[in-house]
Amino acid sequence: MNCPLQNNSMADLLIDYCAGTLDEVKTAQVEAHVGDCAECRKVVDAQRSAWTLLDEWTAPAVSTNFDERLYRRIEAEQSRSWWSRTWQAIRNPGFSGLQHSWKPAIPLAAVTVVVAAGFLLRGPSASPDVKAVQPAAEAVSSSAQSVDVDKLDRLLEDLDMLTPIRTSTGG
Amino acid sequence: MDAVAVIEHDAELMLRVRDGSDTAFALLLERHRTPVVHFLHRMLQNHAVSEELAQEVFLRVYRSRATYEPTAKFTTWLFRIATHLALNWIRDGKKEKGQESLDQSVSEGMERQVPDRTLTVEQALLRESRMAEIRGAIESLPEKQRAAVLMHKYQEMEYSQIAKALGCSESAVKSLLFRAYESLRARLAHMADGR
Repeated sequence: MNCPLQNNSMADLLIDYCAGTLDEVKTAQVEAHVGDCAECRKVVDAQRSAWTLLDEWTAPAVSTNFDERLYRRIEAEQSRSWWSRTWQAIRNPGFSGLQHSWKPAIPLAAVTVVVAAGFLLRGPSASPDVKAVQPAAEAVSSSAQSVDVDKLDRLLEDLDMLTPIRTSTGG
Repeated sequence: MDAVAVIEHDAELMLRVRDGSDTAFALLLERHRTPVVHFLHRMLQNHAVSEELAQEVFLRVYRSRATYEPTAKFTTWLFRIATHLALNWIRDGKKEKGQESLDQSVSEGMERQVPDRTLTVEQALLRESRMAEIRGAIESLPEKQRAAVLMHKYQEMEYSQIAKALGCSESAVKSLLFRAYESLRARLAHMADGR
């Protein structure tokens, strides 16, 4: 076999070998190679040592009232008004059903608002006075637009994260 | 119970949650509470925040129950949400805001972590120093590398699962892990010699 360290596409072999996740055939191949290759042997030894050290790091126990606090939050959320829950769904996606129906509408709504604002500010009836305030209005509009883009970016990321993963099968 | 059965069981439980079963949600919580909190704890190294974000993870699972479809492993989805919240928290710079509670919670955490009365004071100090080095090595990794290593090492997730959780390709995950382990090997090399 080729040296995994010389071949980027095989670099994960040594990690998998140390983690014990390779099948028997590949394990034997890597083992044979590591026996002959000093560089790979060095990496394998260092990887195993690091792996063992990471095993020593135990996380603290979860608080005993974790579930109680969670159920309180769920209860508080359920007792909120219809309007409050809908607003929450818009600000913080995750409520059932809304994530799919709102996703395409959000950028569309944002574009509509920007176009409408632009139309109002640049309309054919604009008088010289209006033209005079246009640069300031454009600056405000541009600033608002950049803030909206950030918010939209975050919102779309949230929505994407909650979208069910489609590509794999199983439970 | 083998791995496949566990996976199917998770999906089955989530479907029951979708149908309104609170018992099924309690079972899912019981099964995944600790791995999610521990993942977030290692990711953020702040116990109070990790519990807070873990609550948010389960809250979002509960909120999304009506639209749940068993098209992917439940744990992949769960860790996708956890990773997303952790990365957002880091990105928002909330770490600075929580620095005070970090110091407090880490010391509290360590108190809970050293219940071994057989250790002498010297041994306990030595152990704490080793833990600090390990935590520091993990913390020094870029966020995505850190998340990938934690899911790979402690949750034993496959490359495909980690890729879905991080929203990148499998080859990108392999590359992240290769670079992350390379850094960890270098940072921890001196400790390996002294074990």
